[in-house]
Amino acid sequence: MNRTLRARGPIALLVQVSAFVRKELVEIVRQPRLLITLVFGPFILLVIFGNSYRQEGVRLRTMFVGPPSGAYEKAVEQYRNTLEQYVRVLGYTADQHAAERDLAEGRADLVVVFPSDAIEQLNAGKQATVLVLNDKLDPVQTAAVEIAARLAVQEVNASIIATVVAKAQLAADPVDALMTASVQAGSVLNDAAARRDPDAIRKASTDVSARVADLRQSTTVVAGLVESVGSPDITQQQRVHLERVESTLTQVETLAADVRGAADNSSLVIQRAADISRSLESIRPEVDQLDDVDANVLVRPFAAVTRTVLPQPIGVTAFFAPSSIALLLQHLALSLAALTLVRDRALGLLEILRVGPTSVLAVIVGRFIAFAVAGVAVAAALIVAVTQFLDVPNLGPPVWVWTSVVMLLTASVALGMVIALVSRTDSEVVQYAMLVLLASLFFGGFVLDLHLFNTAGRALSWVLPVTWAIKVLQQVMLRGQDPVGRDFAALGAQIAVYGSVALMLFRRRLRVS
Amino acid sequence: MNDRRTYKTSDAVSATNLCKSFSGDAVISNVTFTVPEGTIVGFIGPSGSGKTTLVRLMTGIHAPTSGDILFHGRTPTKLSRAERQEIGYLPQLPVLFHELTVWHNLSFHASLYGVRLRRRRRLHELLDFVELGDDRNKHVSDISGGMQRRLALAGALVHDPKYLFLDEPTAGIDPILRQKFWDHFRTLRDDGRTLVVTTQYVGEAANCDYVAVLSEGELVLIDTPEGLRRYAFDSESVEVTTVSPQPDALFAELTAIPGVRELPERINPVSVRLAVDNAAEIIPTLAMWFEQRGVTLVGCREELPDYDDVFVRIIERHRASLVGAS
Repeated sequence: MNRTLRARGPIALLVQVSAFVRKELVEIVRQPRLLITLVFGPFILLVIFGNSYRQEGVRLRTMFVGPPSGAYEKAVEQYRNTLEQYVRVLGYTADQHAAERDLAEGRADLVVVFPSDAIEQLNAGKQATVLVLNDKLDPVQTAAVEIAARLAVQEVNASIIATVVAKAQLAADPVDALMTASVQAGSVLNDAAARRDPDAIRKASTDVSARVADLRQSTTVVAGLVESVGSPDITQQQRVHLERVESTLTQVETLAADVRGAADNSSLVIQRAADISRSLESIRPEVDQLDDVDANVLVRPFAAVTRTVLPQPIGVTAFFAPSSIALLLQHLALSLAALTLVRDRALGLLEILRVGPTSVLAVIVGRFIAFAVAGVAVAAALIVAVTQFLDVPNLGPPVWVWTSVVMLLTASVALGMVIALVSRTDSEVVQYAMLVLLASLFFGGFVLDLHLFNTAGRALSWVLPVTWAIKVLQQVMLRGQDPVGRDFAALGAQIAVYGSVALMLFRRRLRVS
Repeated sequence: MNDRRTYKTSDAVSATNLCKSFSGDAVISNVTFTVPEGTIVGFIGPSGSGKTTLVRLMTGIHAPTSGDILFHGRTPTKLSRAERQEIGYLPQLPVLFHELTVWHNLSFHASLYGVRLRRRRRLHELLDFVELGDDRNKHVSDISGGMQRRLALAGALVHDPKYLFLDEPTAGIDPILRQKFWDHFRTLRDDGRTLVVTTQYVGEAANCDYVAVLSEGELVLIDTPEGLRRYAFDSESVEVTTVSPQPDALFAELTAIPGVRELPERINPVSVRLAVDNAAEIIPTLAMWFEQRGVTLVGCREELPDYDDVFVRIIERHRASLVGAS
């Protein structure tokens, strides 16, 4: 060879690396449709997904079935507003077969069948079963149906109990009136004492005792109700109030008995009558509170209010954007690397490499650089697009985003090369790439949280580059926090392992047959 | 006729009892030959005769199943990077990337061989040589098969290698450019390069220093082009043309001249064809013989049989010998 033509030492290696960088990049750039698909495809899909997903949750179309013109039909109508929080009420029918046909033909999502023997079941001390039918294939949706059904039945139960409690409170309503009557009886006693009329004093004190006895009975009923159905906090608070009311009423009864016994002792009667009125007035707030607790509050003491502690609320588009970008980049790098290698093999490039002086390292590194550059360009376009046009937050330090993108691309290129080197044809490569894509969808944390998997499932997720990239990108972009070092370490380990395997397999391929 | 030789420093390639099988099927059988330094050795044979496999064995793409092959005294599969840098290889199917331009493809091959990045002049020279200078910005998908072949040849030459292994470099090339290629190959040879060229164009044998004829994985013959002719016809041929028609009896007397093998074959009333041992030696004798008998000659020249005929004759003889042997 003409020595003036030859590059030397590390420069020769760089020249060889540059051959593959340029070749791969030119081949990618020469495919504008591929580039458009890579950038605009996922962006448009995210736009459609974000706009079409009903974030308020899916309310299932529900048909209720039960005996005709019964209490259930009234209950469904009566509690319609409550039920509509969980399901969309289609109506009530006595024809279960017709309802099931609606379910089978897709006109209804759920059929709720009330028991026709509820009274018998309750009388026998058993719960009456409400049957909820659904035809969902998706196990996640089936779980959602179960939760919605459970919530709806709980809500119906709570509504019924609230009604009973309210009625019981109405039955015990004299609490307020009896309190007033007791106070008035005390005033009459004071008047009689002031007139120093022993007969009137005896009559008025007897009346005070009677009113107080009624008041004690009524407060005991209300307290028992609270004790039975109220929340622990409310029960505790009411118990304190009740104890004070009861001790005061006992004291008042004692005072009234003293007055009756000393009706002729005008100074003592005047003092005791004043004590009675003061005592009764002192417990009025507690008695009012016993009466004031709303039946709904008694039955549903807690209302959930959720508030995110994230820097900003995350919508469905924002949530899926980082994982979509990670998944796309993995698929892009893996497929390009794998297909290029197989195509080059079919073209006969390996023969040239076997004869020539090209280093295997140059071939591998050249491709890594080329696909990393292409991937970073695609990632930049996508990240700018989703942050600018879809309002996806990118809160964390950009250095972590780009570090994870580069590491994801490198690991994916290495994995793609391994796939190419164990495949014989383009078709095999495509099949393997699809398998990796499917595995990434199921186990990469794209749809389901990794905590939902057992050890075997998690182990599969660990070997996928996208698993760690999704974690890092969500952590940095959505939470605005620094990533966990372990995630980068895992990506680094994948680069080392897949890269070494690719290098080893490539050397073996270049070995003489 | 296998030329059994041991390796000499003057040999670029030396093969001894070389065999190569794929899945038990013998593709190369017991082949022995050498490629001397600074020569053009052509491998000619029908399709499937093992030419490409032989080139792959010489370049170290394949290892032999048995026998030995040496490139400069070293096993081709174990050459160092520096030794590989001295080899130019043109595979039978051009390794070109269709999405890249002519220029980028040539540049890619240059980079593979570590040609420095300031190489525009070299690339222009080569593209002009293969007459693709004006097409350098075209994509390979837009040029013809012949142009692709030329570009692939430029790729094999781009690093100015000392040893060239060219598998059918002139396939699909027009005769004028083909001749230009061969002129260039001879120039390279004259500069001290060694070329191993396979071809299906039997006529190209004349351009080689040595020609090896392959048939069904066996080396039938390796010799100079002239030696090939001699082997094919067992003799050389001289055509004699007289001014006026001469009787058969006169021509029959020619058999008395030493070196004339058999009765002349009359071509027309004034011309006959003579089978002789050595045409160059006998032509002056013949001229004198006719002059002594007062016969004026229009011409007396060696008749060179077409290499197609030579090739067909050699292959037929080889096959006949195989049938006879079996």
